[in-house]
Amino acid sequence: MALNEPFIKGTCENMCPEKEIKFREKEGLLHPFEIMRSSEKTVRLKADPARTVKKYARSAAGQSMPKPSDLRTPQALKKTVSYLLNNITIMENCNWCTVYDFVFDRLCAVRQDAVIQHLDVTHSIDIMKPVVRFLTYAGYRMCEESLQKYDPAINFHHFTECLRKLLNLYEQFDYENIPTESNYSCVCERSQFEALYLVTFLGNVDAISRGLMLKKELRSPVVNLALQLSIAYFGGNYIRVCRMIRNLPPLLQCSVALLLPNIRRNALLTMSSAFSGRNLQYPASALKTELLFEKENQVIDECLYYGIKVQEKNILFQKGVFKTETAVRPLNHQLFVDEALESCRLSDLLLKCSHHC
Amino acid sequence: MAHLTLNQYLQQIDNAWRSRDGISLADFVSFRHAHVASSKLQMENPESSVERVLEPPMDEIVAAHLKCVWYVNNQDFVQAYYCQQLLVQAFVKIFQMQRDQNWALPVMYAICIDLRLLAQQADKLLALRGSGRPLETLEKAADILMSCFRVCAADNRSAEESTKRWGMLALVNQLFKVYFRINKLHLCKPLIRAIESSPYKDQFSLSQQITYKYYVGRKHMFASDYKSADMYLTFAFERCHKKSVRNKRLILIYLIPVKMLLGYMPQRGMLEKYDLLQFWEVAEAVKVGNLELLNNVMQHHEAFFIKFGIFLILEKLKYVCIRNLFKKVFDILKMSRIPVAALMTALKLMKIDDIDISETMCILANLINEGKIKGYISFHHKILVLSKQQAFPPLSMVTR
Repeated sequence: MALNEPFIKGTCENMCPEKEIKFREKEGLLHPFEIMRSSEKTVRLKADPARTVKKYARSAAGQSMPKPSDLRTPQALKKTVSYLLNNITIMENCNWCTVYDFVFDRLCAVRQDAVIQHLDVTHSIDIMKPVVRFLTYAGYRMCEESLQKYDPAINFHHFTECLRKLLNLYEQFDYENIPTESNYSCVCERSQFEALYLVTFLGNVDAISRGLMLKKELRSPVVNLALQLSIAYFGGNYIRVCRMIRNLPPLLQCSVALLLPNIRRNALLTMSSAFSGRNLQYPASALKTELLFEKENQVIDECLYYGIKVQEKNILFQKGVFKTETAVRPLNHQLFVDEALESCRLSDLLLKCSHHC
Repeated sequence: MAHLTLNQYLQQIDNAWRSRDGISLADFVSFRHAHVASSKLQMENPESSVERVLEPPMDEIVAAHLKCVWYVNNQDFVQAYYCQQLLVQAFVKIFQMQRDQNWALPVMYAICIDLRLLAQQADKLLALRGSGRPLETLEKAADILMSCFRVCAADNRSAEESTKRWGMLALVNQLFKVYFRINKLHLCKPLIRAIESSPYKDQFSLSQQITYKYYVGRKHMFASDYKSADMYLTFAFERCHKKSVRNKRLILIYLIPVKMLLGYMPQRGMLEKYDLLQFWEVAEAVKVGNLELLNNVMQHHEAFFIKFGIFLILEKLKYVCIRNLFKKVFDILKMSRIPVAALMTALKLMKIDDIDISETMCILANLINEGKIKGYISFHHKILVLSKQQAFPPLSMVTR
C-alpha cells in the first residue's frame, strides 16, 4: 500500500537483531532461556541465536530512531511469536511466572516492532491473534499468583487493548475490502474473538449492542452462545449463565472465569433477599452445582466471606446481612476450566483456530 | 440570493463584521444559506479576490468557506471537510481574542454544525474508497469541536451578557451527536458535568435544552438509570415543538420502553400518530403477561429494536412480562403460597421449553430482589410465599 511507504521497514530476519545479541551478551543481560547450553557452566555466557529474542524497550526521549536492521520483518515477527508460544510456554522444570514474564515482555517487543513499521492489516491480524490468546490464557493461569509476582490489572489492560485492536483490525480489513488470500484466516476465527470480547465484558451494554449488530456471517454458534450468555448475565439469570459457561470453548472459559467471582457475588446478593425468611435453609449442595463450585466447603467459605450465615451444610440467607462493601472474592483455579484446558494442547490453543466455533 | 455577486457578498460580510452582527455573519458562512447556490461564488482559488475586499482576519475565514463551497459542489467532501476544519480553526483563534464579547456565537454554531455534517459526508466517501479508518474524519471533527468548547468553557471572567459560556450547550450537543455515532458514550460524562454545574443550565435556548435532554436521557437509559432517563426524555418530549414530528418520534422510541419498564403502557392512538405500532404489540404482550408473544414480537421487530439500541431494554421488559404472568397464576390459584412448579408450568406454556425449577426460582429471586414481587421463596418446599399485602405492587411504586 502506498500509504505505508513513508514508514520504516525492518530488515532483521531473526528473532533478535545482531546488535542486541552482542550488547546483551557483553552486559550479561541474557535471560536463562536464551543462553547457549554449551556455555552454561562457563564464565562467559554466550547467546544462543536460535533462542534469543528481542527484548522490549520503552521508547523514550533522546533515543535515536531504530534502524531497519533493528526491526524484524513480518515473517520474523511471526516466527518469533510461534517460537514463544510453541516452545517457551510449555517449558517444564521452571516456574510458569518466569515463562509468563519472558513471553509477556517479548510479545510487547513484537507488538512494538509491528507498530513502528505500520504493518499492513493482514500481517497485523496474524500477529495479534496469538498475542490476544496468550494474554487470555495467562490471565487465568496466573490468577492465583501473589501481587508481587503478577499484576492482574496490567495483564487485563494489555489483554483488552490488544483485543480491541484486533477487532478494529478486522473491521479495517472489511473496510479496505482486501481480497481474501490463502493466508487469511477463516471467518470462524474472527468470530472466536468477537465471542471473546462478549464474554470478557459480560453483561456490558456496549459489548452486547456490538454483538447484536454483527453481520450474519459472523454470528457463529459460539458468538450466539456468548451473546445469549451475556444477555442472561445482563438479566441476572445466574442459573442460565453458569450452565452456559461450561459449553464455551476452553479459551473463552479462561476469560469468563475471571468474572466468576462477580457472577457468584451477584447471585448470592440476589438470593439474600429472595430466600430470606425465618427457618429457611438453602442447602450448600444445591448452590455447589448451581454456581459451579467443586466442593460444599467452598460454597460455605464464599457465603461466610460475604457475611451470610451458615448452619452446618445449609445457607441461611437473610436480607441486609450481605456485606456489599466487601471486595469481590479473588478467583482461584476452577476444576472445570482446568479440565477444558487439558483437553487440548497448549500450543494449539494459542496458535490455532479453535475447533469449537 | 442565488444570484449574489462576489462583491455584493463580500461587502455584506464586511458590513456584518464591522457592525458585529453575528447572526448575519453566520448566514454568510453557513451552508444553510442560499448564497452557497450562487453560481458567481463558485471558485477554486478565491483567496486573492477575497483579500481585495476583506481585511484579516476575516479574509481567511471567508476564503476557506468559499473553497469549501466549491468542493461541496464538486462532491469532494474530503477536501471540503479539510477546508471547513481550517475555517473553524481560524475562527477559534479570532474568537479567543475577542475579550468580553460573545456576538460571534451564532457564527460558531453555524460553522460547527457544518463541520460535523461535512465530516459525516467525508467518512461516507472514504468508506466507498476504502481508505483511512472507519469514522476517522468524525473523530477529528470531535477534536476541533472540543477546541471550541474549551474556549467557551474557559471564559468565566466576562459578565453574564457577554460571556462565551452561552455557547457551551450548542457544542455539547454537537459533541453528543458525534460520540453517539462513534459509540464513545463515556466521553459524554465530563460534558454533562460541565453543563449540570453551569449557572445558565436552565437558561439556554429551549431547542438546545431539548436536544441536550434527549441525549442525556438516552445515556441514562443505557446506564440502566430509568428514573433519570424518564425525567430527561419526558422533558424533551413535552417541550419539543408539536410540528417536529420526526424529533418527537425519535424521543418516543426511547421514552416508551423506559415508561413501560416503570409501569406506564402507551396508548394506541399515540403510537399510531407517530408510526410506532411495534410498541403496541410489545405493550399488549407485556400487559397480559404473554411471554411467548413478547418473544415473537421481539424477534419480528429485532432489526428495528437493534438499530435504535433498545433491544436490551426490551430484554428487561421480559421481567415485567413474567411478573404479570405470575400474577395471573396467583389470580387463578388465589393462594398466598404458590408452588414454584405452577409458575414453571406457566413459563413452559409460554414456550420456554428448557426451563426448570432452579431457573424458575432464579427468575423469581430477581423479581423479588427488584421489588416487583413481595414475598420469599422456600427452597426446601419449592414454594413462593407471597406477602399478605400487595404481593404484586404496581410497577410505578417499585423503587428499584
